[in-house]
Amino acid sequence: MKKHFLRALAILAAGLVGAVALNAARPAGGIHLVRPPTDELVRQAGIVPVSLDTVKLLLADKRFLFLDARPANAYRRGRIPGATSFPEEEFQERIRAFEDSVAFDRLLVTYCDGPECQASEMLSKELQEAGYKSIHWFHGGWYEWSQAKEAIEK
Amino acid sequence: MKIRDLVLLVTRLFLGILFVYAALDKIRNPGPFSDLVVNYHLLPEPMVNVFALWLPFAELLAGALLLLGIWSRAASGLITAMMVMFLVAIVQGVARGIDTHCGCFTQGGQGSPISVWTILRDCSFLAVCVLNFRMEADRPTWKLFR
Repeated sequence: MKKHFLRALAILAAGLVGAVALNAARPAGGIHLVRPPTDELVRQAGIVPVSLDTVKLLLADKRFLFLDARPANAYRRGRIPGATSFPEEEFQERIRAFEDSVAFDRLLVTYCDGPECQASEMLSKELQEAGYKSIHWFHGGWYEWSQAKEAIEK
Repeated sequence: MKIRDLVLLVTRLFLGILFVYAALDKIRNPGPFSDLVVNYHLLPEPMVNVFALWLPFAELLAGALLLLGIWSRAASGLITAMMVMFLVAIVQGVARGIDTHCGCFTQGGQGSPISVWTILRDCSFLAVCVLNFRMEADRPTWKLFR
């Protein structure tokens, strides 16, 4: 029995070494071994934080609607393909118009400039208060998207 | 081939393929899998990425060893333990009303949200795990054909 237990530990140890080695060998250095803290309040509110890799997958899924919370001029210069503009100063009126045309169960992804900006987090909370049920918050935002040289729309 | 060997072979193939298949998408998409693990609210957030990297490799190795019948009792024990862990995560998720996708086989929002059906499916997988673990005898798979 002890022999099998030691073998199981060896499998787990080999898995850990392989996982860390492959992660380090990935083109962009892989993901951080220690996950950066996400805003606790956002998580408690039931808003789902999503990373760049997830956003790439979500963009291919037409059920997801992307909302750009940056200023309108930044939106015009470039945005994630298909994103709708939601500048911070117009949140309330845009959300009212949004409610008339977009169902409350629509899958939403919000983003703003990058990890430092607050607008997408605020927009996520406003949308949730308005009744939207499935909100995904791309905290890396435009900074991560453009750094990764992903497709943009102008 | 004896009936016992046939059952052992079938359960090895089923669980081995299941775990290798489940591991591949997680290894390809560690970021999305990490986001899913966070949504289960079971681990301290700083630990989630190491877990999200480690788990699929453990699944891959255990699944491959079980398929080959090498260290298969240890691999079967690990697979059973992982299945119990998945079941606990999903049951607490459903009980707490957490709205998340399973992340069992695909990442990034595809697949179905966790539900009672996910629990029933994993219970049936766990039954196969227990059956396999009770029968495992560390015999290479190719020797089962003799």
